[in-house]
Amino acid sequence: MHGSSPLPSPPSPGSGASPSSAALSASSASAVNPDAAILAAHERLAELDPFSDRERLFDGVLAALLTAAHAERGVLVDPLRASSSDAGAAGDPPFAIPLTARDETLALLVLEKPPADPVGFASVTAHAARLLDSVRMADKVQKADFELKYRVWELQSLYDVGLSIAGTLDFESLAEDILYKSISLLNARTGTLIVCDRAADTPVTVRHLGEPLLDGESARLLPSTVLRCNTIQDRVGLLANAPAEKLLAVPILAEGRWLGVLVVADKENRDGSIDDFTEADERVASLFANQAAIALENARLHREAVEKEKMEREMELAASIQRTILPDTLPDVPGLVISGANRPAKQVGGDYFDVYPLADGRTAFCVADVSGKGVPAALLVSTVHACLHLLVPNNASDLPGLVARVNRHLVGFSSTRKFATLFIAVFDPAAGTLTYVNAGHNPGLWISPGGVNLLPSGGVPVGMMPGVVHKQASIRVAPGDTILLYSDGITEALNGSDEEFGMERLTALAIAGRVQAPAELSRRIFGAVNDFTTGVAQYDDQTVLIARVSAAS
Amino acid sequence: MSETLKVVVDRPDATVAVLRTDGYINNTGGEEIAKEAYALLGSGVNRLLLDLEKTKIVNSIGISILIEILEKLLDQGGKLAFCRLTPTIEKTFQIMGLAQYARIFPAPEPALAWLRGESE
Repeated sequence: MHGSSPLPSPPSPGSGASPSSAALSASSASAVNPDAAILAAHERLAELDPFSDRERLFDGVLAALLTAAHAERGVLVDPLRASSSDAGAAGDPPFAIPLTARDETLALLVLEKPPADPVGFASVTAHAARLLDSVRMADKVQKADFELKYRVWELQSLYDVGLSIAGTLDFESLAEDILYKSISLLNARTGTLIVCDRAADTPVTVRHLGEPLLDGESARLLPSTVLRCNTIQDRVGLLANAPAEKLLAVPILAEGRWLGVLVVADKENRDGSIDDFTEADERVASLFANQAAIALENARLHREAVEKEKMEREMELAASIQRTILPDTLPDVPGLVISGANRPAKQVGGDYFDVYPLADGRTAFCVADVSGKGVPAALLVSTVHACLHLLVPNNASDLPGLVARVNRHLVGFSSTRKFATLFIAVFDPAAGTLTYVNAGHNPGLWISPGGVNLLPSGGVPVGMMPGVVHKQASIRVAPGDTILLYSDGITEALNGSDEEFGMERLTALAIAGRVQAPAELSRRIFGAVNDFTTGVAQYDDQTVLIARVSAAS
Repeated sequence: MSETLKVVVDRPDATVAVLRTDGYINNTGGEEIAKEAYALLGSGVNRLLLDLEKTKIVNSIGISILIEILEKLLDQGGKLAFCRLTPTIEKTFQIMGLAQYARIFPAPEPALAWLRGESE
């Protein structure tokens, strides 16, 4: 088999070039004439297959040597594995001849007496030595070939893991792949891979082959260094009870932070014993641990990208809902000039404003700000919008009752964290009054020749708790008076120094703009907020609704 | 998957045997396969199929034992086939030279046909 198919021979005890001792009796040797015996010995050696079974080969070599020596008995000893029983088998012979090649003794022939033809015999021992040398060299080549292939396998495994990392974001299957490849290449018997989240406090992936070497909780307490435990004394406390003889634990580090550990145990030897883990093993295990760290980081980045994309889609949907709900244009109503504007934030919040002309000539208008962001907030805005559109036409004369019904609806159909501040007012041009309920909203501003008055809150936001009662208030307004409603996105707009735009600036603008058209005042307010924030991203919607009592009333 | 290998031997007919492995082909796992393979060889069955469907991991010692089995089979004019290898194990066998002297098949049927000499 060896002669025709050079399979890579694995490095294993007993399969090396060094032969075991061979002892033979050559009863026919003494009858051969010296020259013929030397010739016959050479022929026997030439017929031997150097790749045949080692025992048979050595038996053949010894037989040839005994023929050449005209000896009946002898021992061919492997110098690396000599044993007294081999020598004893030949009757404690006194004459030893080393078989050497390349300055190395490949075997030792022990005879009872010197050969009859020393010169001829020397040619036979040289022939035998060359034969053993060729076997030894072939074996070395095969071992080197196996080693080389093993290195290729190692590199290929690392390359494959790298490719897998680039090609898949399923960290669970990658983790198993990394664990199995590490165990496989290190000839370990068992292994455990534990990976925690970025806060390093929760194991997110735990994989074992064989009995677990440690659990997730213990893993968190391991040091961020490589632990090579070839003796029980090497073990730190956490690994003391690991069900294995020898351990190698390498940390998985991301940007220097401990995120997990790869532990392999019990490096196998072909003879069944357990080898020590070496520095080279440490390097291989560390390479795989690095790959795990990269894979983990990739998976995290992917997860974040997916979440970001989802959030952006959500924001777009929320913005779309909000765009549909907010009025494009405001109706002309008796006795008021109204202007409203909304600037959605990057993370869509939930501002809402609207104007409702009533059948009896009065006008209702409102500003609301719902809790939360994104789609949930947009849906809540949608609910508030629907409630008000249904209730306002027939309930504007009883604002506390109207707000109570809105509150009841929101409490019944949304979670406790979903609520809305609401400022709703009804202007009666005939009576010259403005009646309002402020449910937890920022105080409205009433700008009149007498100055600026606040229209404060008369109760908690709607949707927060059942059964709350909101106070109604009423003011008498005159032509030229301005009612300015706004959301906290205006007064709490932040600049680069984390300062808020604030009520003072808004009030000053309102006073200065009391002779300006409401649309112009609205533009100035947004312009001032813009100038104040100087491009700093705002996280809350900004809404302004300005109602000016016109001279006609 | 356990690290302890189990081998189940199936004899579809008198000429071939299928050894189904489940577990890690390492030193002990390889010895387990070798024990079954040499018993079959001793009883005159020298065409073996190793079905590795339930084996996901193999190490170099396991491979060296598989090579030893292959050498003995070829010495006695036999044949060795593998089937249902994971991509990783198949690549490993290619790299380590096993695939040069044993055939690898995706499924048992074509492997058995090859072992019986019904296909090239």
